[in-house]
Amino acid sequence: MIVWKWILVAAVMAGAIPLVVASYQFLLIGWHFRRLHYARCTPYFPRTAILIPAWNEAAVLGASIDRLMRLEYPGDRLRVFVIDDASTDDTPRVVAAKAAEYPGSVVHLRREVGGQGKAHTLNHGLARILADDWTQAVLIMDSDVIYEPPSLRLMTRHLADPEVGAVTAYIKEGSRPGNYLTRFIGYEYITAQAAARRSQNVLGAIACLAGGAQLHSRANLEAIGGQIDTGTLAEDTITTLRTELRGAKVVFEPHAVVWAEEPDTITGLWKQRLRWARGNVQVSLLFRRIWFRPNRGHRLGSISFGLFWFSLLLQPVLMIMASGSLITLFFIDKSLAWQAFHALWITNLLTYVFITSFALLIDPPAGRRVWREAVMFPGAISLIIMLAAIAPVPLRFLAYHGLSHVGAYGAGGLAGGVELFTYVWLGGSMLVAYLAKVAEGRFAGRFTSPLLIYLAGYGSLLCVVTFAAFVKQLRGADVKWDKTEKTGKVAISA
Amino acid sequence: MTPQEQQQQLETEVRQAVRYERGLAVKMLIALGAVALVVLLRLLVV
Repeated sequence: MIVWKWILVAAVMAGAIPLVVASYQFLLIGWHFRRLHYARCTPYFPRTAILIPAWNEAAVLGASIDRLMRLEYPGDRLRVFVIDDASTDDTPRVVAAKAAEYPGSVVHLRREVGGQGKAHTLNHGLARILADDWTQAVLIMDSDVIYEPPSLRLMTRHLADPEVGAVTAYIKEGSRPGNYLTRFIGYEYITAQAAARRSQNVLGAIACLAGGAQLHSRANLEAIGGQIDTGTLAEDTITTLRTELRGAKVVFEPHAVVWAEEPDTITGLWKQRLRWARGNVQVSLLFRRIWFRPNRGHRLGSISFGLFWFSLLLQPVLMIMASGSLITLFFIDKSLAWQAFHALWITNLLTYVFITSFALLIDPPAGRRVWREAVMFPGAISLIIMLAAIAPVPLRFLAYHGLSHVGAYGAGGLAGGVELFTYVWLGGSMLVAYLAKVAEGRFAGRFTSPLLIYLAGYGSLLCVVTFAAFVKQLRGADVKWDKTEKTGKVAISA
Repeated sequence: MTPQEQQQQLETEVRQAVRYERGLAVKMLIALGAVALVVLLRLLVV
Protein backbone atom coordinates (compact mmCIF):
# COMPACT_ATOMS: atom_id res chain seq x y z
CA MET A 1 0.00 0.00 0.00
CA ILE A 2 2.84 2.37 0.88
CA VAL A 3 4.42 1.84 -2.55
CA TRP A 4 1.12 2.71 -4.22
CA LYS A 5 0.82 5.85 -2.16
CA TRP A 6 4.23 7.05 -3.30
CA ILE A 7 3.43 6.18 -6.89
CA LEU A 8 0.36 8.39 -6.53
CA VAL A 9 2.48 11.18 -5.02
CA ALA A 10 4.87 10.90 -7.99
CA ALA A 11 1.89 11.07 -10.37
CA VAL A 12 0.70 14.22 -8.57
CA MET A 13 4.12 15.84 -8.90
CA ALA A 14 4.18 14.91 -12.61
CA GLY A 15 1.58 17.67 -12.94
CA ALA A 16 4.37 20.17 -12.28
CA ILE A 17 6.65 18.79 -15.02
CA PRO A 18 5.49 21.17 -17.79
CA LEU A 19 6.14 24.26 -15.65
CA VAL A 20 9.45 22.95 -14.30
CA VAL A 21 10.62 22.15 -17.84
CA ALA A 22 9.41 25.58 -19.00
CA SER A 23 11.49 27.14 -16.18
CA TYR A 24 14.53 25.19 -17.36
CA GLN A 25 13.84 26.52 -20.85
CA PHE A 26 13.71 30.08 -19.49
CA LEU A 27 16.96 29.55 -17.55
CA LEU A 28 18.73 28.71 -20.82
CA ILE A 29 17.88 32.20 -22.11
CA GLY A 30 20.49 33.56 -19.71
CA TRP A 31 23.13 31.81 -21.86
CA HIS A 32 21.76 33.02 -25.19
CA PHE A 33 24.30 35.85 -25.46
CA ARG A 34 27.05 33.22 -25.49
CA ARG A 35 25.49 31.24 -28.34
CA LEU A 36 24.73 34.01 -30.82
CA HIS A 37 25.42 33.31 -34.46
CA TYR A 38 26.53 36.86 -35.33
CA ALA A 39 30.24 36.01 -35.59
CA ARG A 40 29.48 34.18 -38.84
CA CYS A 41 27.21 36.88 -40.28
CA THR A 42 28.14 39.33 -43.02
CA PRO A 43 25.99 41.84 -44.91
CA TYR A 44 24.30 39.49 -47.37
CA PHE A 45 21.43 40.24 -49.73
CA PRO A 46 20.59 37.09 -51.70
CA ARG A 47 18.03 37.30 -54.51
CA THR A 48 14.98 36.45 -52.47
CA ALA A 49 11.65 35.09 -53.68
CA ILE A 50 8.87 35.80 -51.21
CA LEU A 51 6.09 33.23 -51.33
CA ILE A 52 2.64 34.21 -50.10
CA PRO A 53 0.02 31.48 -50.22
CA ALA A 54 -3.37 33.17 -50.50
CA TRP A 55 -6.93 31.97 -50.43
CA ASN A 56 -9.45 34.80 -50.18
CA GLU A 57 -6.98 37.22 -48.61
CA ALA A 58 -8.12 40.43 -50.30
CA ALA A 59 -8.56 42.14 -46.91
CA VAL A 60 -4.91 41.79 -45.94
CA LEU A 61 -2.78 41.19 -49.04
CA GLY A 62 -2.49 44.76 -50.28
CA ALA A 63 -1.08 46.10 -47.01
CA SER A 64 1.33 43.17 -46.67
CA ILE A 65 2.71 43.67 -50.20
CA ASP A 66 3.06 47.43 -49.61
CA ARG A 67 5.08 46.72 -46.46
CA LEU A 68 7.28 44.23 -48.31
CA MET A 69 8.06 46.87 -50.91
CA ARG A 70 9.25 49.15 -48.09
CA LEU A 71 11.71 46.61 -46.69
CA GLU A 72 15.28 47.83 -46.23
CA TYR A 73 16.42 45.51 -48.99
CA PRO A 74 17.69 46.08 -52.54
CA GLY A 75 14.55 46.25 -54.70
CA ASP A 76 16.13 44.37 -57.60
CA ARG A 77 16.86 41.41 -55.31
CA LEU A 78 13.30 40.94 -54.15
CA ARG A 79 10.32 39.35 -55.90
CA VAL A 80 6.94 38.67 -54.35
CA PHE A 81 5.01 35.65 -55.63
CA VAL A 82 1.39 35.50 -54.53
CA ILE A 83 0.13 31.95 -55.00
CA ASP A 84 -3.58 32.45 -55.33
CA ASP A 85 -5.29 29.20 -54.34
CA ALA A 86 -8.36 29.69 -56.56
CA SER A 87 -9.63 32.59 -54.47
CA THR A 88 -13.27 33.54 -54.96
CA ASP A 89 -13.00 37.04 -53.46
CA ASP A 90 -11.15 40.13 -54.68
CA THR A 91 -7.69 38.57 -54.24
CA PRO A 92 -6.88 38.35 -58.00
CA ARG A 93 -7.84 42.01 -58.48
CA VAL A 94 -5.77 43.15 -55.46
CA VAL A 95 -2.71 41.23 -56.67
CA ALA A 96 -3.15 42.50 -60.25
CA ALA A 97 -3.27 46.06 -58.92
CA LYS A 98 -0.10 45.53 -56.89
CA ALA A 99 1.63 43.86 -59.86
CA ALA A 100 0.85 46.99 -61.89
CA GLU A 101 2.01 49.27 -59.07
CA TYR A 102 5.30 47.38 -58.59
CA PRO A 103 6.12 46.05 -62.09
CA GLY A 104 8.51 43.10 -62.10
CA SER A 105 8.42 42.83 -58.30
CA VAL A 106 5.00 41.28 -57.74
CA VAL A 107 3.94 38.10 -59.57
CA HIS A 108 0.48 36.53 -59.49
CA LEU A 109 0.48 32.71 -59.67
CA ARG A 110 -3.03 31.34 -59.83
CA ARG A 111 -4.21 27.81 -59.16
CA GLU A 112 -7.52 27.26 -60.86
CA VAL A 113 -8.36 24.29 -58.66
CA GLY A 114 -7.53 24.94 -55.02
CA GLY A 115 -8.62 24.10 -51.49
CA GLN A 116 -6.05 21.36 -50.87
CA GLY A 117 -4.29 23.30 -48.14
CA LYS A 118 -1.31 25.57 -47.61
CA ALA A 119 1.38 22.99 -48.38
CA HIS A 120 -0.05 22.21 -51.84
CA THR A 121 -0.35 25.93 -52.55
CA LEU A 122 3.28 26.53 -51.53
CA ASN A 123 4.47 23.64 -53.68
CA HIS A 124 2.78 25.22 -56.70
CA GLY A 125 4.88 28.34 -56.10
CA LEU A 126 8.08 26.48 -55.26
CA ALA A 127 7.92 24.49 -58.50
CA ARG A 128 7.83 27.78 -60.39
CA ILE A 129 10.54 29.68 -58.53
CA LEU A 130 13.01 26.81 -58.30
CA ALA A 131 12.66 26.22 -62.03
CA ASP A 132 14.97 29.14 -62.84
CA ASP A 133 18.23 30.12 -61.19
CA TRP A 134 17.28 33.69 -60.20
CA THR A 135 16.26 32.64 -56.68
CA GLN A 136 19.00 32.30 -54.06
CA ALA A 137 16.73 32.34 -51.01
CA VAL A 138 13.03 31.79 -50.37
CA LEU A 139 10.97 33.55 -47.75
CA ILE A 140 7.69 31.79 -46.96
CA MET A 141 5.16 33.98 -45.19
CA ASP A 142 1.44 34.37 -44.50
CA SER A 143 -0.66 36.98 -46.25
CA ASP A 144 -1.50 38.89 -43.05
CA VAL A 145 2.07 39.17 -41.76
CA ILE A 146 3.63 42.61 -41.64
CA TYR A 147 7.43 42.75 -41.77
CA GLU A 148 9.26 45.55 -39.97
CA PRO A 149 11.58 47.31 -42.46
CA PRO A 150 14.92 45.85 -41.28
CA SER A 151 13.56 42.35 -40.57
CA LEU A 152 14.48 40.60 -43.83
CA ARG A 153 18.08 41.88 -43.97
CA LEU A 154 18.51 40.88 -40.30
CA MET A 155 17.48 37.37 -41.34
CA THR A 156 19.42 37.02 -44.61
CA ARG A 157 22.74 37.93 -42.97
CA HIS A 158 22.66 34.51 -41.22
CA LEU A 159 22.50 32.79 -44.62
CA ALA A 160 25.99 34.14 -45.32
CA ASP A 161 27.06 31.13 -43.27
CA PRO A 162 26.68 28.14 -45.62
CA GLU A 163 26.00 25.88 -42.63
CA VAL A 164 22.72 27.70 -42.03
CA GLY A 165 19.78 26.22 -43.90
CA ALA A 166 16.95 28.36 -42.57
CA VAL A 167 16.19 31.39 -40.40
CA THR A 168 13.06 32.44 -38.60
CA ALA A 169 11.93 35.72 -37.01
CA TYR A 170 10.10 36.85 -33.88
CA ILE A 171 6.37 36.78 -34.65
CA LYS A 172 4.31 39.17 -32.51
CA GLU A 173 0.57 39.51 -32.17
CA GLY A 174 -0.36 42.73 -33.96
CA SER A 175 -4.18 43.10 -33.92
CA ARG A 176 -5.25 46.53 -32.80
CA PRO A 177 -7.25 47.44 -30.79
CA GLY A 178 -7.53 43.71 -30.10
CA ASN A 179 -9.41 42.12 -27.24
CA TYR A 180 -8.75 39.94 -24.19
CA LEU A 181 -7.98 36.91 -26.35
CA THR A 182 -5.46 38.63 -28.63
CA ARG A 183 -3.74 40.01 -25.52
CA PHE A 184 -3.51 36.48 -24.11
CA ILE A 185 -2.01 35.39 -27.43
CA GLY A 186 0.33 38.41 -27.28
CA TYR A 187 1.67 37.13 -23.96
CA GLU A 188 1.77 33.55 -25.18
CA TYR A 189 3.96 34.68 -28.09
CA ILE A 190 6.46 36.28 -25.73
CA THR A 191 6.85 32.91 -24.03
CA ALA A 192 6.55 30.68 -27.10
CA GLN A 193 8.50 32.85 -29.56
CA ALA A 194 10.81 35.36 -27.85
CA ALA A 195 11.64 33.06 -24.93
CA ALA A 196 11.34 29.47 -26.16
CA ARG A 197 13.07 30.10 -29.50
CA ARG A 198 16.02 31.76 -27.73
CA SER A 199 16.48 28.70 -25.52
CA GLN A 200 16.20 26.50 -28.61
CA ASN A 201 19.00 28.60 -30.18
CA VAL A 202 21.07 27.75 -27.09
CA LEU A 203 20.31 24.05 -27.54
CA GLY A 204 20.99 24.22 -31.28
CA ALA A 205 17.59 22.70 -32.11
CA ILE A 206 14.65 24.80 -33.26
CA ALA A 207 11.23 23.16 -32.95
CA CYS A 208 9.53 25.08 -35.73
CA LEU A 209 10.20 27.80 -38.25
CA ALA A 210 7.22 30.11 -37.80
CA GLY A 211 4.85 29.61 -40.71
CA GLY A 212 4.69 33.37 -41.28
CA ALA A 213 8.45 33.91 -41.35
CA GLN A 214 10.60 31.13 -42.68
CA LEU A 215 13.60 32.03 -44.76
CA HIS A 216 15.40 29.19 -46.55
CA SER A 217 18.53 29.11 -48.60
CA ARG A 218 17.86 27.65 -52.03
CA ALA A 219 20.36 24.89 -51.26
CA ASN A 220 18.38 23.89 -48.19
CA LEU A 221 15.06 23.74 -49.98
CA GLU A 222 16.58 21.63 -52.75
CA ALA A 223 18.29 19.35 -50.22
CA ILE A 224 14.97 18.57 -48.53
CA GLY A 225 13.37 17.75 -51.86
CA GLY A 226 12.26 21.18 -53.10
CA GLN A 227 8.77 20.52 -51.76
CA ILE A 228 6.79 21.07 -48.60
CA ASP A 229 5.26 18.06 -46.85
CA THR A 230 1.59 17.64 -47.70
CA GLY A 231 0.79 14.61 -45.57
CA THR A 232 0.34 16.32 -42.21
CA LEU A 233 -1.07 19.52 -40.71
CA ALA A 234 2.38 20.67 -39.53
CA GLU A 235 4.16 21.35 -42.79
CA ASP A 236 6.35 24.09 -41.23
CA THR A 237 7.54 21.82 -38.39
CA ILE A 238 8.31 19.01 -40.82
CA THR A 239 10.35 21.40 -43.00
CA THR A 240 12.23 22.57 -39.89
CA LEU A 241 13.03 19.10 -38.60
CA ARG A 242 14.08 17.85 -42.05
CA THR A 243 16.43 20.82 -42.37
CA GLU A 244 18.04 20.01 -39.01
CA LEU A 245 18.14 16.27 -39.64
CA ARG A 246 20.25 16.83 -42.74
CA GLY A 247 22.76 18.62 -40.51
CA ALA A 248 21.96 22.22 -41.47
CA LYS A 249 21.54 24.89 -38.81
CA VAL A 250 18.27 26.68 -38.16
CA VAL A 251 18.59 30.09 -36.53
CA PHE A 252 16.03 32.18 -34.68
CA GLU A 253 16.75 35.91 -35.12
CA PRO A 254 14.95 37.59 -32.20
CA HIS A 255 15.55 41.12 -33.46
CA ALA A 256 13.82 40.53 -36.79
CA VAL A 257 10.24 41.34 -35.84
CA VAL A 258 7.13 40.54 -37.84
CA TRP A 259 3.52 41.15 -36.84
CA ALA A 260 0.61 38.79 -37.38
CA GLU A 261 -3.12 38.91 -36.94
CA GLU A 262 -4.34 36.23 -34.56
CA PRO A 263 -7.88 34.99 -33.84
CA ASP A 264 -10.02 37.17 -31.60
CA THR A 265 -12.63 34.50 -30.86
CA ILE A 266 -12.24 31.20 -29.05
CA THR A 267 -13.87 29.45 -32.01
CA GLY A 268 -11.23 30.85 -34.37
CA LEU A 269 -8.42 30.08 -31.95
CA TRP A 270 -9.76 26.56 -31.41
CA LYS A 271 -9.73 25.88 -35.16
CA GLN A 272 -6.16 27.18 -35.53
CA ARG A 273 -4.73 25.47 -32.46
CA LEU A 274 -6.48 22.17 -33.12
CA ARG A 275 -4.70 22.14 -36.48
CA TRP A 276 -1.35 22.94 -34.80
CA ALA A 277 -1.83 20.42 -31.98
CA ARG A 278 -2.95 17.66 -34.33
CA GLY A 279 0.04 18.46 -36.53
CA ASN A 280 2.34 18.13 -33.51
CA VAL A 281 0.85 14.74 -32.64
CA GLN A 282 1.47 13.66 -36.24
CA VAL A 283 5.05 14.98 -36.11
CA SER A 284 5.70 13.15 -32.81
CA LEU A 285 4.68 9.89 -34.43
CA LEU A 286 6.38 10.54 -37.75
CA PHE A 287 9.74 11.35 -36.13
CA ARG A 288 9.43 8.77 -33.34
CA ARG A 289 12.92 7.46 -34.01
CA ILE A 290 14.67 10.74 -33.15
CA TRP A 291 13.27 11.57 -29.69
CA PHE A 292 15.62 11.16 -26.73
CA ARG A 293 18.32 9.65 -28.95
CA PRO A 294 21.34 11.96 -28.90
CA ASN A 295 22.99 12.13 -32.31
CA ARG A 296 26.19 13.78 -33.53
CA GLY A 297 24.57 15.04 -36.71
CA HIS A 298 21.82 17.10 -35.07
CA ARG A 299 20.51 18.19 -31.65
CA LEU A 300 16.89 17.10 -32.06
CA GLY A 301 17.58 13.90 -30.16
CA SER A 302 18.93 15.66 -27.07
CA ILE A 303 17.22 14.95 -23.76
CA SER A 304 16.50 18.66 -23.26
CA PHE A 305 14.80 19.07 -26.62
CA GLY A 306 12.74 15.92 -26.04
CA LEU A 307 11.64 17.29 -22.66
CA PHE A 308 10.65 20.64 -24.24
CA TRP A 309 8.64 18.90 -26.94
CA PHE A 310 6.82 16.29 -24.88
CA SER A 311 6.18 18.29 -21.69
CA LEU A 312 4.07 20.66 -23.78
CA LEU A 313 2.42 17.97 -25.84
CA LEU A 314 1.56 15.81 -22.84
CA GLN A 315 0.55 18.67 -20.52
CA PRO A 316 -3.20 17.86 -20.58
CA VAL A 317 -2.51 14.21 -19.78
CA LEU A 318 -0.19 15.17 -16.91
CA MET A 319 -2.77 17.60 -15.50
CA ILE A 320 -5.53 15.00 -15.55
CA MET A 321 -3.18 12.42 -14.05
CA ALA A 322 -2.17 14.79 -11.22
CA SER A 323 -5.79 15.60 -10.40
CA GLY A 324 -6.87 11.95 -10.50
CA SER A 325 -3.99 10.92 -8.23
CA LEU A 326 -4.78 13.69 -5.74
CA ILE A 327 -8.42 12.61 -5.56
CA THR A 328 -7.41 8.96 -5.04
CA LEU A 329 -4.98 9.99 -2.30
CA PHE A 330 -7.72 12.10 -0.69
CA PHE A 331 -9.77 8.97 -0.11
CA ILE A 332 -6.92 6.72 1.10
CA ASP A 333 -4.61 9.12 2.97
CA LYS A 334 -5.87 12.66 3.48
CA SER A 335 -2.71 13.88 5.18
CA LEU A 336 -0.45 12.68 2.35
CA ALA A 337 -2.86 14.14 -0.23
CA TRP A 338 -2.64 17.51 1.53
CA GLN A 339 1.18 17.41 1.52
CA ALA A 340 1.34 16.37 -2.15
CA PHE A 341 -1.12 19.13 -3.03
CA HIS A 342 1.08 21.69 -1.27
CA ALA A 343 4.25 20.46 -2.94
CA LEU A 344 2.57 20.55 -6.38
CA TRP A 345 1.05 24.01 -6.09
CA ILE A 346 4.04 25.62 -4.38
CA THR A 347 6.18 24.33 -7.27
CA ASN A 348 3.60 25.72 -9.69
CA LEU A 349 3.66 29.10 -7.92
CA LEU A 350 7.44 29.43 -7.92
CA THR A 351 7.73 28.50 -11.59
CA TYR A 352 4.82 30.83 -12.42
CA VAL A 353 6.53 33.76 -10.65
CA PHE A 354 9.80 33.08 -12.47
CA ILE A 355 8.32 32.57 -15.93
CA THR A 356 5.87 35.47 -15.76
CA SER A 357 8.27 38.06 -14.37
CA PHE A 358 11.05 37.05 -16.77
CA ALA A 359 8.73 36.90 -19.81
CA LEU A 360 7.48 40.44 -19.16
CA LEU A 361 11.09 41.65 -19.00
CA ILE A 362 12.13 39.89 -22.21
CA ASP A 363 9.93 42.12 -24.36
CA PRO A 364 9.00 45.17 -22.26
CA PRO A 365 6.84 46.98 -24.89
CA ALA A 366 4.71 43.86 -25.44
CA GLY A 367 4.81 43.19 -21.72
CA ARG A 368 3.31 46.59 -20.91
CA ARG A 369 0.38 45.80 -23.20
CA VAL A 370 -0.35 42.30 -21.95
CA TRP A 371 0.78 42.23 -18.31
CA ARG A 372 -2.76 41.69 -16.99
CA GLU A 373 -3.20 38.63 -19.19
CA ALA A 374 0.28 37.46 -18.15
CA VAL A 375 -0.79 37.55 -14.50
CA MET A 376 -4.10 35.88 -15.31
CA PHE A 377 -2.59 33.24 -17.62
CA PRO A 378 -3.18 30.36 -15.12
CA GLY A 379 -6.65 31.73 -14.27
CA ALA A 380 -8.05 33.36 -11.13
CA ILE A 381 -8.92 30.09 -9.40
CA SER A 382 -5.45 28.62 -9.88
CA LEU A 383 -3.97 31.88 -8.56
CA ILE A 384 -6.10 31.59 -5.40
CA ILE A 385 -5.07 27.94 -4.98
CA MET A 386 -1.41 28.87 -5.37
CA LEU A 387 -1.80 31.57 -2.72
CA ALA A 388 -3.61 29.11 -0.46
CA ALA A 389 -0.77 26.63 -0.90
CA ILE A 390 1.99 29.10 -0.11
CA ALA A 391 0.22 31.13 2.57
CA PRO A 392 -2.58 28.99 4.04
CA VAL A 393 -2.82 30.87 7.34
CA PRO A 394 -3.74 34.35 6.01
CA LEU A 395 -6.10 32.83 3.46
CA ARG A 396 -7.80 30.68 6.10
CA PHE A 397 -8.20 33.85 8.17
CA LEU A 398 -9.87 35.63 5.23
CA ALA A 399 -12.06 32.61 4.49
CA TYR A 400 -13.13 32.42 8.14
CA HIS A 401 -14.24 36.06 8.20
CA GLY A 402 -15.79 35.93 4.74
CA LEU A 403 -17.78 32.75 5.35
CA SER A 404 -18.74 33.72 8.91
CA HIS A 405 -20.17 36.94 7.49
CA VAL A 406 -22.59 34.96 5.33
CA GLY A 407 -23.09 32.34 8.04
CA ALA A 408 -21.51 29.53 6.02
CA TYR A 409 -18.41 28.86 8.10
CA GLY A 410 -18.49 25.45 9.74
CA ALA A 411 -21.25 24.23 7.43
CA GLY A 412 -21.12 20.45 7.21
CA GLY A 413 -18.70 19.15 4.62
CA LEU A 414 -17.81 22.60 3.30
CA ALA A 415 -14.11 22.35 4.19
CA GLY A 416 -13.85 18.86 2.70
CA GLY A 417 -15.71 20.01 -0.39
CA VAL A 418 -13.36 22.96 -0.89
CA GLU A 419 -10.35 20.68 -0.41
CA LEU A 420 -11.66 18.19 -2.97
CA PHE A 421 -12.45 21.03 -5.39
CA THR A 422 -8.85 22.27 -5.25
CA TYR A 423 -7.63 18.74 -5.99
CA VAL A 424 -9.94 18.39 -8.97
CA TRP A 425 -9.14 21.83 -10.32
CA LEU A 426 -5.89 21.13 -12.18
CA GLY A 427 -7.72 18.80 -14.54
CA GLY A 428 -11.15 20.36 -14.08
CA SER A 429 -9.95 23.79 -15.27
CA MET A 430 -9.79 22.34 -18.78
CA LEU A 431 -13.48 21.52 -18.62
CA VAL A 432 -14.28 25.11 -17.62
CA ALA A 433 -12.09 26.39 -20.47
CA TYR A 434 -14.03 24.14 -22.83
CA LEU A 435 -17.28 25.62 -21.49
CA ALA A 436 -15.92 29.04 -22.48
CA LYS A 437 -15.78 27.79 -26.07
CA VAL A 438 -19.29 26.36 -25.84
CA ALA A 439 -20.63 29.59 -24.32
CA GLU A 440 -19.17 31.79 -27.07
CA GLY A 441 -21.78 32.80 -29.57
CA ARG A 442 -24.66 31.84 -27.27
CA PHE A 443 -26.77 33.98 -25.01
CA ALA A 444 -24.53 36.37 -23.00
CA GLY A 445 -21.50 34.51 -24.39
CA ARG A 446 -19.81 37.84 -25.00
CA PHE A 447 -19.50 38.20 -21.23
CA THR A 448 -19.51 34.63 -19.92
CA SER A 449 -16.87 33.36 -22.33
CA PRO A 450 -14.09 35.80 -21.31
CA LEU A 451 -15.16 35.44 -17.69
CA LEU A 452 -14.70 31.66 -17.86
CA ILE A 453 -11.28 32.08 -19.50
CA TYR A 454 -10.13 34.51 -16.79
CA LEU A 455 -11.37 31.99 -14.20
CA ALA A 456 -9.99 28.81 -15.77
CA GLY A 457 -6.92 30.30 -17.44
CA TYR A 458 -5.78 30.66 -21.04
CA GLY A 459 -3.25 27.89 -20.37
CA SER A 460 -6.10 25.49 -19.64
CA LEU A 461 -7.75 26.49 -22.91
CA LEU A 462 -4.59 25.55 -24.83
CA CYS A 463 -4.44 22.26 -22.91
CA VAL A 464 -8.00 21.32 -23.74
CA VAL A 465 -7.32 22.01 -27.43
CA THR A 466 -4.33 19.65 -27.30
CA PHE A 467 -6.52 17.08 -25.56
CA ALA A 468 -9.11 17.44 -28.34
CA ALA A 469 -6.31 16.87 -30.88
CA PHE A 470 -5.39 13.58 -29.15
CA VAL A 471 -9.03 12.49 -29.28
CA LYS A 472 -9.31 13.39 -32.98
CA GLN A 473 -6.09 11.55 -33.78
CA LEU A 474 -7.19 8.44 -31.84
CA ARG A 475 -10.53 8.47 -33.63
CA GLY A 476 -8.73 8.80 -36.94
CA ALA A 477 -10.75 11.90 -37.82
CA ASP A 478 -10.25 13.43 -41.28
CA VAL A 479 -7.13 15.55 -41.68
CA LYS A 480 -8.39 18.75 -43.25
CA TRP A 481 -6.97 22.22 -43.53
CA ASP A 482 -9.17 24.71 -41.65
CA LYS A 483 -7.90 28.11 -42.65
CA THR A 484 -7.74 30.89 -40.07
CA GLU A 485 -9.66 33.94 -41.27
CA LYS A 486 -7.70 37.19 -41.54
CA THR A 487 -9.44 40.52 -41.69
CA GLY A 488 -6.63 43.08 -41.73
CA LYS A 489 -6.53 44.13 -38.08
CA VAL A 490 -2.76 44.38 -37.82
CA ALA A 491 -2.04 48.01 -37.11
CA ILE A 492 1.52 48.72 -36.11
CA SER A 493 3.74 51.67 -36.65
CA ALA A 494 6.64 49.69 -38.14
CA MET B 1 24.73 51.84 -49.32
CA THR B 2 28.36 51.00 -49.97
CA PRO B 3 29.76 47.67 -48.73
CA GLN B 4 31.69 49.56 -46.04
CA GLU B 5 28.52 51.26 -44.81
CA GLN B 6 26.72 47.91 -44.80
CA GLN B 7 29.52 46.39 -42.72
CA GLN B 8 29.36 49.32 -40.28
CA GLN B 9 25.60 48.95 -40.01
CA LEU B 10 25.97 45.25 -39.28
CA GLU B 11 28.59 45.86 -36.60
CA THR B 12 26.45 48.50 -34.90
CA GLU B 13 23.35 46.29 -34.95
CA VAL B 14 25.23 43.26 -33.72
CA ARG B 15 26.70 45.30 -30.85
CA GLN B 16 23.20 46.45 -29.87
CA ALA B 17 21.80 42.94 -30.14
CA VAL B 18 24.58 41.45 -28.02
CA ARG B 19 24.02 44.15 -25.39
CA TYR B 20 20.30 43.32 -25.35
CA GLU B 21 20.99 39.61 -25.01
CA ARG B 22 23.47 40.21 -22.16
CA GLY B 23 20.76 42.30 -20.50
CA LEU B 24 18.46 39.28 -20.61
CA ALA B 25 20.91 37.37 -18.40
CA VAL B 26 20.58 40.17 -15.83
CA LYS B 27 16.78 40.13 -16.22
CA MET B 28 16.83 36.40 -15.58
CA LEU B 29 18.59 37.07 -12.27
CA ILE B 30 15.92 39.66 -11.40
CA ALA B 31 13.21 37.08 -12.08
CA LEU B 32 15.05 34.54 -9.91
CA GLY B 33 15.19 37.26 -7.24
CA ALA B 34 11.40 37.51 -7.40
CA VAL B 35 11.20 33.77 -6.74
CA ALA B 36 13.61 34.09 -3.81
CA LEU B 37 11.42 36.88 -2.41
CA VAL B 38 8.35 34.62 -2.51
CA VAL B 39 10.26 31.87 -0.71
CA LEU B 40 11.48 34.38 1.88
CA LEU B 41 7.96 35.70 2.47
CA ARG B 42 6.71 32.16 2.87
CA LEU B 43 9.39 31.47 5.49
CA LEU B 44 8.57 34.69 7.33
CA VAL B 45 4.78 34.26 7.25
CA VAL B 46 4.63 30.60 8.27
